[in-house]
Amino acid sequence: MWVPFPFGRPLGPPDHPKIQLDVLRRTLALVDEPSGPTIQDYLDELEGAQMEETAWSCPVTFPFAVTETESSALTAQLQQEALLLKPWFSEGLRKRGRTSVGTSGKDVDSIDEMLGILARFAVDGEMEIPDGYAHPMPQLLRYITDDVRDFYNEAAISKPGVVFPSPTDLLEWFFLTTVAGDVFYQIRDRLRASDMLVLMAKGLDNEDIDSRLSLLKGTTSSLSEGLLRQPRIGHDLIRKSAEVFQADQPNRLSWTIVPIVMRDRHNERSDFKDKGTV
Amino acid sequence: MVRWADIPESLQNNFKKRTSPFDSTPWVEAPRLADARIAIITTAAIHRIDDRPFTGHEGDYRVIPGDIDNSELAMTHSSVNFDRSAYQQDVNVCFPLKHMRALMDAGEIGSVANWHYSFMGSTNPTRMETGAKEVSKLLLGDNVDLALLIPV
Repeated sequence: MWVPFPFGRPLGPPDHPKIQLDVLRRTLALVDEPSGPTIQDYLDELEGAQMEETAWSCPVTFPFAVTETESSALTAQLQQEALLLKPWFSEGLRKRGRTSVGTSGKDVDSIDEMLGILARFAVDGEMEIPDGYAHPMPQLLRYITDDVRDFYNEAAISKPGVVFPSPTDLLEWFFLTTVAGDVFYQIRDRLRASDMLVLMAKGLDNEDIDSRLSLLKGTTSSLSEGLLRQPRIGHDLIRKSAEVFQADQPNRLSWTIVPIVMRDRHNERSDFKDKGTV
Repeated sequence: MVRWADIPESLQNNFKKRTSPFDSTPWVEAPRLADARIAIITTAAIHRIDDRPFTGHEGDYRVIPGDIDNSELAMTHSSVNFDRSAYQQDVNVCFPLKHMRALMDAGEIGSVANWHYSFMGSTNPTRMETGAKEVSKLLLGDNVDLALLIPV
């Protein structure tokens, strides 16, 4: 069944059981088609009739700060954001009775620690972590970034009476207005740089590297010069990147940090300065 | 499934790299819905909270008991290219076990399976073949007539 809903919402919007049940019934009814396989299109007019049209805004106002470039100061910025979001996260947890935070191996009580890990990796490439996490670095980055983003999102969706945000609302809010979103871009850049060094060492040409890393065409040449002059990529990270390529894993770590639709929008952060969270 | 035309081109290209057409399109007659025993198969990488997280793209699956409470579920999909906030707010957007029970209670479907299954999507289908074959045997063992496949 083709549906008009975005990825992540196959049965429709959250807290709309009537729509979800309707999608479910119509999908199950496909088995009664006289022949198949068949693809049908779910009703489009349902979306206009039943979706809220009011714009979403984040329940928290935090200062739009220039992201700090020193890891301790950056950690402090991130922890300040988390502090402002915590009441809404707790409210959401109380109402929903569950949270997605925890895939890193630690729970929401360790959010400040996770933010510190992200800040130190983003700024200094630091790979040392405290005990107790379920995965080693750099693989842990995927789970910590999931936990942090889940924390931010669950806080953002928790204010009573506020219309539920669209996926684009949340993506733009997180990646273009929060310090955490900026740090995610920095982490991705560092992971991508490590991957790039490994691929260059393998003797691949620019186009092959660009396609393996899902870069814009012609990116390697412009990025590699800076990498070779001052890579700031530790040996541990390069070794792990090489292992991923050797095992022919289809997904690079750098792919699990920033969604494809946001990858080329980092420079829009200044455009969002006056929106929503300021 | 999101309409192909609604998918951003960058993601369409991503999908095209990962999938290939099937050789055949088999069609099997299904029982009446009111008699059907139905299991959910999700590719949202949902699992019991104390189960192993999904890590790579090995094509493995997890078993979700039919009496599970939503608070016992976790999602560890590697893709960041779909919205998770809706699932965080309401599990039924992609794992409608509660709705399936309601349909059963209303007599619209026969029964809900004892076990449901989860894979991590965006995995090469050839890597999923072994797991898929295992799940098909498990479905037969649970007397399932119909599998509801819900992509995310």
